[in-house]
Amino acid sequence: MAPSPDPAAESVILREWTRGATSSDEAFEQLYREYGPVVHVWLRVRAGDTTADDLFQDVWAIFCRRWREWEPQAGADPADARPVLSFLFRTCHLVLLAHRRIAKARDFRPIDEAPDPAVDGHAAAMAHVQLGECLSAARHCCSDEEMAIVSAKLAGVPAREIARTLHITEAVVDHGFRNAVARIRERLSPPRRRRTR
Amino acid sequence: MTEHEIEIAIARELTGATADHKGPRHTVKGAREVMEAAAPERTSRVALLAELEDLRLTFQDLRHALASPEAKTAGVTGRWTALDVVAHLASWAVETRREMERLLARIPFDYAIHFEAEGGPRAWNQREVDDRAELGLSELVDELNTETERLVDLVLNAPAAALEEVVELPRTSGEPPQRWRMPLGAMVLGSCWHARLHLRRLVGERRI
Repeated sequence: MAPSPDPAAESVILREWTRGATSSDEAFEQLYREYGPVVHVWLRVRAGDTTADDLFQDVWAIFCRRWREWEPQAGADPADARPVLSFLFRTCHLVLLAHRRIAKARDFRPIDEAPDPAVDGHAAAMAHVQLGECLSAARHCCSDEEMAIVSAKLAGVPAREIARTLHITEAVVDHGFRNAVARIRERLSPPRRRRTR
Repeated sequence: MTEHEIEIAIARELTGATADHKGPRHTVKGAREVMEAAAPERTSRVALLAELEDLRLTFQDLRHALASPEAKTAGVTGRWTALDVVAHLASWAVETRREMERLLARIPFDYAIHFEAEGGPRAWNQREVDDRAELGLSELVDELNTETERLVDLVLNAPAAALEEVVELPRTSGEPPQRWRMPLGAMVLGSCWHARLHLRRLVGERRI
């Protein structure tokens, strides 16, 4: 199974739109269908379900406005085969930062960012099964930046764009990715048994 | 599990979570609804802050794109060099922040910037660029960053109703001159659009 999303889809959508085979609105709808799920997952792994739904609207509203200014060729970075995916990753990150800044200024925490009550075993269990074992482990042992790196790299966002968005170097992106994966592996390893004589 | 297997597993879980998202738990809007919600007058505070931060990322790109003397002095418009355009952006960053401050404090404007049918407020723009003629790239980018951060603080602390309120700007066009009216949030969004319009030509290789 290939990591989502389909690497070729964006270039096909942009090519068809550029040559006039699809309208701007149709191309937007196709991009929304293609990347809506991955945008939602990016937000979920870093912000939780309830907040992700709200921020999802903001990310796509921003992209929708930007899409109306999008020029088919001029300004494209030749090294970036999927400029829309890169743009969406950056926008997710900035929207998350904005949300956190507002929350900090208002001094409130969204309900799904609040710690689970100690007695609520069901909520804790649900948090664990939300995204599967590996992603769940990642959420426990990775920093927010590492989660951004891991989820973006595995979705195909170029390291250069990840680095620019997070204000780090490409080397730090690679190092962070390796570190995070190693830590997730360690967390998923079965506990070592103590030797007994 | 090897580290490569971990990578494949996470990728599969992303795919699985994606598939789940497409299923019955999918609670987000359809594409058409998103397009309707993207109207400038309906922009949320989160989106405004994200747009302003995106500009700040691009200001950093300016330092690299215009590092050489040739890049700084390259003609971008018929009358302005690349550095003049950065000065122009700085002048509008200051003006936008000042307007926002006065509008939030409900202080009336005692001036107006008149936009001609073509070329915008040419005299005002040129005067502002001339005022910054002695400044280098670093100082201009610092000014852009500082003013945008101040605008971020204003957006962050403005009452929600104020961002949606239709306001009258100290900008006019037409004959006789008519004041521009728009929601405050849309004014901030328009300022981001104007900056991107110029930044695209200065740091062209990026999607902005």
